Amino acid sequence: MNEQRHAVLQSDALLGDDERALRQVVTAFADEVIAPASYEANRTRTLPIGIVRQMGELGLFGLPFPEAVGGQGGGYMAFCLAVEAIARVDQSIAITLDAGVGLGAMPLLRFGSAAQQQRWLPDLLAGRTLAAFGLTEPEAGSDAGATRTRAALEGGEWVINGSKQFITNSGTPITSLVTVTAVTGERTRPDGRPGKELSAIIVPSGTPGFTVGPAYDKLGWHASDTHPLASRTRACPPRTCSASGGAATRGSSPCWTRAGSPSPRWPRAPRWDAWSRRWRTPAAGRCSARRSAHGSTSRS
Amino acid sequence: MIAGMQARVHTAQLAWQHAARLRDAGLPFKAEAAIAKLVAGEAAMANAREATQIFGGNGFMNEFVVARHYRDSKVLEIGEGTTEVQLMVIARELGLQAEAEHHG
Repeated sequence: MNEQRHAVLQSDALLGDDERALRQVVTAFADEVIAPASYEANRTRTLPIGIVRQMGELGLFGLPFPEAVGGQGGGYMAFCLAVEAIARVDQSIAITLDAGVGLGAMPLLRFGSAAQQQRWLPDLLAGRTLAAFGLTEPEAGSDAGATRTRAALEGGEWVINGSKQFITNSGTPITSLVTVTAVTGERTRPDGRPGKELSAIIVPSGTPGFTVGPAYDKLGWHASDTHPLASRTRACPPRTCSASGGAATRGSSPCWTRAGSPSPRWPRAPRWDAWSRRWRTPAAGRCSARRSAHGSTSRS
Repeated sequence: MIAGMQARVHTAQLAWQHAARLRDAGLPFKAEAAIAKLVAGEAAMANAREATQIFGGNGFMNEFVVARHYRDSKVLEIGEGTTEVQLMVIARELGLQAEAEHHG
């Protein structure tokens, strides 16, 4: 069936060799590892953490990141090929990867300080942890300008007050942080009108006063982790969120504080064009044997 | 019916691959990404609906993957920017006024 499908899709013929190999590897992984686990994961509304970890071992979470920070050195073309190959089989797993990379880790690469990247990216890019991005609010969806959540610096700490909703990956057992958007002041727009200053603040999981609500009862994406969030108190300990520590980005134009730090040392990562070999050899048997590894995960 | 579904899949793939290639080349891709999101989300929902119909009663059973795709695909027209928001983005990229951006 795959051969027939590929014969029809002319877009495949224009893929590079690495891209075609990547698609084949991820398609095989989806068919052999994800598909057999999908019914049960969706029925029990459980994100299969074991599958997330295996995707991490394949390098999928590091795919569009440069090798300099421990990524695979691929682009968005490669990343989207992987997401598509998984979504074909299970959209919940695909959105877990998509949000984990695009909303969780990518803001750290683009706007984070070296210290923040060094602290969070190695585990995120390896699929050992997941990160989320808290933007949507009850009255602010795609219109970020309507954000109600506010944050203020008090004694060197960001104090965040507000709530978020529909936040993917925010309450998994391996969620390490949520980047939360908040109004932190006023500013003048380019056209001269007054506007809000929006900032993005890293909130590590387990921060006191930061509450992850019960998982939503959704129409679909049952194996994907989605929660409301609330922050009512002093949300950020100084060591993780203080302005001087460089954990927050201030202003709607990204301007993450650059804290001075020594050159980070990154773990060595396999290049994504080497996946084919890794997957075809011992990984297939090991992955199959671990299909039921998701059974013990729980929601907060 | 399946030929029409294949046409939607193909169109969606061309759209997102074009946006991804632009992005990887460092070129502007906002309108192309919005078009890809719009086209692919609607293609997935339409194909899931037709696939479920093809399966008949089985298509209504959760054991069949088409039933899951039927439930899962609806959010593709809502999450990460609704279809309406994608139209707004495209309209803005075309230089259209805000009044023209709010059609269904």
